[in-house]
Amino acid sequence: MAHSFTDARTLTAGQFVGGANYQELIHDPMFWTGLRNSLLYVLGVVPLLVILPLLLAMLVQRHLPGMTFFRAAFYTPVVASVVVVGLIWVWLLDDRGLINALLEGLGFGRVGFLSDPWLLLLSAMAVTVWKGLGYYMIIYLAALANVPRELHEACAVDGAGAVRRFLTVTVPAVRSTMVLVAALSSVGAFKVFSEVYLMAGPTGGPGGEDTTLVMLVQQVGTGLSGRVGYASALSVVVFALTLGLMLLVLRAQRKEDA
Amino acid sequence: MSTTVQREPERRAGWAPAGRRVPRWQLLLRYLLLLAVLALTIGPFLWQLSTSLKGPGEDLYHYPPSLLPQHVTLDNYAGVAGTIPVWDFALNSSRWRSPMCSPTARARHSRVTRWPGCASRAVGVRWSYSSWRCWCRSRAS
Repeated sequence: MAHSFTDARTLTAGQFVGGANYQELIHDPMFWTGLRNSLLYVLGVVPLLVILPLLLAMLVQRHLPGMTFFRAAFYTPVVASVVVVGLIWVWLLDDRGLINALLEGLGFGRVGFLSDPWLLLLSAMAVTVWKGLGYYMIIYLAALANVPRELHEACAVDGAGAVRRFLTVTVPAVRSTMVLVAALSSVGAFKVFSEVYLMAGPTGGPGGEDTTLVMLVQQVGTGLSGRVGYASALSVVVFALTLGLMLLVLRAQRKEDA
Repeated sequence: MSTTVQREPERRAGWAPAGRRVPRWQLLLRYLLLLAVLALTIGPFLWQLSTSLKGPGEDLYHYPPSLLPQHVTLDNYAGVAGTIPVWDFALNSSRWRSPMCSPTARARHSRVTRWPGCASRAVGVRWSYSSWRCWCRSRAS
């Protein structure tokens, strides 16, 4: 944080420059691109990561034959290294990869998952969701185990169908868990680095269009001539925004409780 | 369907309407969904495994790609050890023996910390952490 008020570089100590770094930041188009991408990432990833793992947890909740296997299998993406799964998905989504071959075989044209800036961002989001599913599924499983059976029974006696029971019993019962998942995944999504870095490359895709904020910090602040001061200013902003996001989620919950 | 049979496993978790068996089509639907998700989650890993066994001439960008390797080979695995110092990397990852424990590395480290100013801080922090671990271990033993 102290560095963010200096013009330090990797090999030279910095002079105090006041708020110049922050001023430059506001006029830096890359900063706004990064902010836009990071926010889009949150908006795209968080709703999916709140809802899909809950449905998945309900799917594997019953003790039926093979369920342990399914649970373990759904958890594998979480255990695998993000670099490894990122590379696998890069192969799969490549212009000449498996998914495009399938699409072409089915009569659709090839889709430039990794060459179109917007599709690339969407693909990275898909990988993040794919990797997060198992983790949040476990959290939801723990929460679901605490839902009292009597509520379900009473609800069914009153003639409620499965969807109705889900909305009136399950969702309220796991709501605090949903807030937790929302908070965790939004912070994670806002600070996304690896997926986009792997899929878009160090420069952030075509024309740097897919750079996220943390990638920008890495681009600016590393290397022999890395601008440590400016990168520190960026980091401070990222930290403040993450904190703000967290407070926003918690505030939303408190309002619902009241 | 018997109304008295409540299977023991079903009592433990999840919920089925009391005294009623789950209809067969629901069970089928559940397993179909499970299999679909399964294909999504471990499919990419299987693809990776399949690719790793492919022989020369049918690499990643061979088009159209084939699901299963035509010429199964383990050459790729043998090639890994020959191309990169993979065992050193594995040691680094397992952290039992940091490369900083070697005498040359320690000498380099002490040279770094003698550099003046910001450079030693920028470079030294990362290096000194691993040598600090070394030092702790040598003290402990």
